[in-house]
Amino acid sequence: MNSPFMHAPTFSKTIPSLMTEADSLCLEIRALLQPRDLDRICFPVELLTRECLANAVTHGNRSDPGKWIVLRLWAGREWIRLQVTDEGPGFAWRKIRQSKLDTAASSGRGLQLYTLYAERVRFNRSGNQITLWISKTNRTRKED
Amino acid sequence: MAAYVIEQTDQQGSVKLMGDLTASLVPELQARLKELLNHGAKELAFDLASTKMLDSSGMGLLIAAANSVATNGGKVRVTNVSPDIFRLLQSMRLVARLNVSGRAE
Repeated sequence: MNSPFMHAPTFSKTIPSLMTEADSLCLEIRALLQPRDLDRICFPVELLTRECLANAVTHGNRSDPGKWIVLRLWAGREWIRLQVTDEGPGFAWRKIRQSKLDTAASSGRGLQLYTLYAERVRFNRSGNQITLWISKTNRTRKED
Repeated sequence: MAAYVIEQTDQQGSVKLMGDLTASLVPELQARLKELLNHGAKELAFDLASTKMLDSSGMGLLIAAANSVATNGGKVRVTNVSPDIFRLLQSMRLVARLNVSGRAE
């Protein structure tokens, strides 16, 4: 799973911690994927990009526009790898991963979406960088 | 163009989204919904016919609205969702809670 991604990213961009910038970047990702015959995975990739960027803006960099977010995307033959890094101190992702969510809860679904749409989710040690692997052939893994 | 159009008649409110329901829109729309609920709306209908993307913040807004109207015996309906959004809400087990229906073919 790692070998196709040793090369430079297909797409890379650094933005300030503003939701408007995150929105524009998501639309760039949409425009990047659509002409590459990747319509089928456009929705999961854009959704995961939005979740990662929103977390980086609000939780990572605490909406400080002086802090930066770096997005890198590698488009391999079978996988899309998405990586988002912020300048925040990170978070205790091991604890949050284990918690269960009530369907009536109005927040806390971001991490659930990562595991729903990505085949593999990896945080760095501190938790200010997330890397997601999204299969080009697989849709959501869990459906009821 | 505005990102949404809100209408209210008696105890029914409707929100027609003109684009995506994502984190950047949620704070503003949430404030407008609060006003709507303060004016006595018990039933809320969200029309997502023009919506291509719904993220966790958007879902949070819909669930918070459902929770609010439920305390007064009301409910929300989410209509005209795309197949991708329907699958997402299905996977998150929110179809029944939000009374979700898809777009007509």
